Amino acid sequence: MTMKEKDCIGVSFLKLDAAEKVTGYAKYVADINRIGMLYGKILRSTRAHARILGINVDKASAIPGVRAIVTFSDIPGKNQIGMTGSKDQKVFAEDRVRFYGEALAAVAADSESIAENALRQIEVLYEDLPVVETIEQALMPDAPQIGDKGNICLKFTIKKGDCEKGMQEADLVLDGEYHTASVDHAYLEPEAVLAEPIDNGILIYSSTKSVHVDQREIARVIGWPLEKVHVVAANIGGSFGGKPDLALNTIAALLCVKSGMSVTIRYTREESLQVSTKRHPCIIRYTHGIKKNGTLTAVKLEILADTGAYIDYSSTVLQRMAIFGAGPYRVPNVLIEVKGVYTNNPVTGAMRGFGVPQVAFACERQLDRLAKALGIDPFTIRYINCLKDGDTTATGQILKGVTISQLISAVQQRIDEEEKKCKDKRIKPYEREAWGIACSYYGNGRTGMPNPGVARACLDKKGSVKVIVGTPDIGQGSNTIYAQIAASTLGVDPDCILVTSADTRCTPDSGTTSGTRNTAIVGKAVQLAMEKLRSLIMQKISILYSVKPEEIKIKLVNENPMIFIPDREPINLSKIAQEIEEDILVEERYDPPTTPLDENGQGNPYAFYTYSVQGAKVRVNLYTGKISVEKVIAAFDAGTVINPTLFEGQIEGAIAMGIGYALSEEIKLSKGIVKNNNFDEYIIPMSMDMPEIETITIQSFDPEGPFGAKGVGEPAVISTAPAIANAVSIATNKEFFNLPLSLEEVSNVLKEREATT
Amino acid sequence: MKTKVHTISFILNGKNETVSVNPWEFLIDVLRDKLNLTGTKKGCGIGECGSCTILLDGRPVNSCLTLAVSVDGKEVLTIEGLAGEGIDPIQKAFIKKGAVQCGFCTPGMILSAKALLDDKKNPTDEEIKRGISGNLCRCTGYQKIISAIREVALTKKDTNNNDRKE
Repeated sequence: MTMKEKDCIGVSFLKLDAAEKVTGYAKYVADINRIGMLYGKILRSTRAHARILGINVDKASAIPGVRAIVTFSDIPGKNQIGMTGSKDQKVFAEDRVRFYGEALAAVAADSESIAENALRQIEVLYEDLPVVETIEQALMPDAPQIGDKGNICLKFTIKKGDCEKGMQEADLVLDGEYHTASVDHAYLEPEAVLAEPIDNGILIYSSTKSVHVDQREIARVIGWPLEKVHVVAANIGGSFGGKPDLALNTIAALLCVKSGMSVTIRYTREESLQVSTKRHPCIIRYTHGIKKNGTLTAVKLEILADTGAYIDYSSTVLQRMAIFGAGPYRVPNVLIEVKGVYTNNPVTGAMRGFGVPQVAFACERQLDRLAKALGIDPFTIRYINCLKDGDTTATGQILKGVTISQLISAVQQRIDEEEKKCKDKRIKPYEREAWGIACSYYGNGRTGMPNPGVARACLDKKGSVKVIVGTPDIGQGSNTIYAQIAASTLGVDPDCILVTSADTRCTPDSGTTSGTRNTAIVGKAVQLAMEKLRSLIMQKISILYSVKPEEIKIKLVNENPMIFIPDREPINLSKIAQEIEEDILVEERYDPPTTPLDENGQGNPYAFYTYSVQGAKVRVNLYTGKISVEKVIAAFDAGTVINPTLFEGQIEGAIAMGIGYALSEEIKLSKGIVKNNNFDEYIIPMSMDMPEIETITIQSFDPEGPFGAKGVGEPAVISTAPAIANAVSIATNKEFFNLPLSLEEVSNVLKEREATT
Repeated sequence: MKTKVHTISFILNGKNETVSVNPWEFLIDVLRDKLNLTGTKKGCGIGECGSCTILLDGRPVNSCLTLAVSVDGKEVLTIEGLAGEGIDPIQKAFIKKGAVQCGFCTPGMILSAKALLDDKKNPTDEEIKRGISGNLCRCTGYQKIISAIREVALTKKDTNNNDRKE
């Protein structure tokens, strides 16, 4: 008999859902078929901004095979949806459309082609309104007003110290204006939904990061009580901050209620790229003050972010932009103002990094330009100014366990080694190579508000150990992380743990899978629930066998959890469960200790921060402007790494996304219409575009996190684009201010040099 | 408008299959909707993302661009047919190496990998990257996919060497 206490933390346990995914048996929403199921299609506005004078569905209703048609007038509840508190968006437009592709009506029919045909028979009478295409247009005095209270829909301020005084103390003041593009999540699975009538209500299969948000929104729209509306997440083909499309889910529910039949709606890629939310395009204006010795004295920042036609997640995204506006640096005097501006562009929302990628690009460009102006190198300026243990952030939060210096040094050391190795390598005379670096930090969880992770743990009568959480696994592997945390807490193998997630019929509301909160916050709730379950099991055994709880041990024997009681043969946990004769079910919540921000943006918005430094080596073709990324070295402090393979997977995937953000991705709009609405023209990185990625992790332990862990999903994407942009600037000896660094952008900037020299 | 419905026969995952199709129908829709083989995914519908990759007479094709009538008399392999007695070594390596995240690109990626490895026993990393260049993945950054394919190639090489020794 081999005995071991299996350690499940820091082990690359295989992802729970991998086997069903490699065999093709994993069901995504569009893979679920029901006999007699109807196909829904959505009639979308062909104007970005217009009054709706009338919608006539009579002809469409008369088509054989059409089972239900809905417009705003068929909504039994409220025609109002939104991912956050703002809820300024409608399911169906009533008197006005604010973006191209906004839903006007929907049809459920026996087949997709009948539904499509019916859409063509719906008559819409528009009165065109001027389309606001840019932030600048939206802020003109005579601009058409998109929102009810003007075009500036959000404003966040951070004030620390005296910015003006800080600028006066500086030896050098440097301005810079930066522009970033709108980009799409480009998850490979287009949005889909299935709504079906069930005995006690309606059941929605959703591709979503938030079943409980979906549930509340659907219930409000269809006017049903929450307990009759159930939402379950199918396998989710990527999210990255996007999904669900609330309009889509509520429309499917409306069609299902009206027809009394199961209804599925599946987006095409073109539909997804037109109507799904995007990362905010921004105008970013920085002023930094710095002393000759390289110490930052002040930062002033103004950001104008295009929220598109509605707010969606903008309130949280813009707040993060403000919080991280000073970068991971010690700046005594800070003045930051972030404004959200309505346009008639697609709605912008949450996307991996929640606004920080935009800010980090501009901030890290500023740091490199400041270093150049002072004649110091990019590492030195960052060593001097980066946050260190006990420093205060721009929001006045005192940080402990800051490791940015170590991360810079780890990356610098590896870059030096690489450079020595490549010393004699020749490149073509018209090519240039250089390394660039960038630093970042990122708060885990929602910002300065309660956002408890809730988890249940259960030992049932049959001996199964279960973990039950509401947050969906969006493909990154959070359920596997929960299994490892639970197993380690109980002292069993992760294979012994059954994880159920994201089903409002049986899982608690653990919050959304966003803000890098699954590992640290929901994972902590899993740990607490398992601790409680373990102590209850011990209590029950102590009564059953008349022993003290502390004398009982759980150990694995040949992968089976066994209970060891002094002077007795080991007993299988499942046998004990049978003897206990009842399910033991516990629920625990963990709400990270944060404080809301005051009117000056001061407070402790997060309980966990993940730190990262990335170095990127680029090669630039001076004739064509083509950039290739040759290598990325990415160093992280995310506390304890629970599963190294999943951890690296997050980082490698994020760096690919960062490379796309840096070089090729841009939603191209004209009059609110997405011009590049499929993957032939919206270019995400492919295998050939990827450099070698080297991940470095610093050994650290976060005192709050489960087993010392923090999250990495979003932090991993932030530093890639700025590191690349800095490298390109060094390679070409030319400053770059805009993302993406497309062929056009780079060759234009290089031509400017020719013109001026 | 009357159009002729065609009856096509082909070998699907090793078994004979006969199905009626309209001349305009694409293979992906026939597989997913008529034959309930939903492992083949539709990510873009225009042959750019590769999620719908299947093997047609052993070669990888986008089933969203392949007319169903054109596979009459041919051999089609979908992800559901790859596993035999046990799962295929490529599937095994994808699980082991962490090459699967959301999993939506995975079936197409695995079939492209199979075509590559059937063609080249010992591909270089560059050849692996080229072999899967028709398949987009948004989750993994391709690194773990490449290392999974590399591992299958290395394992096969070892087995071949052992075979020779015996």
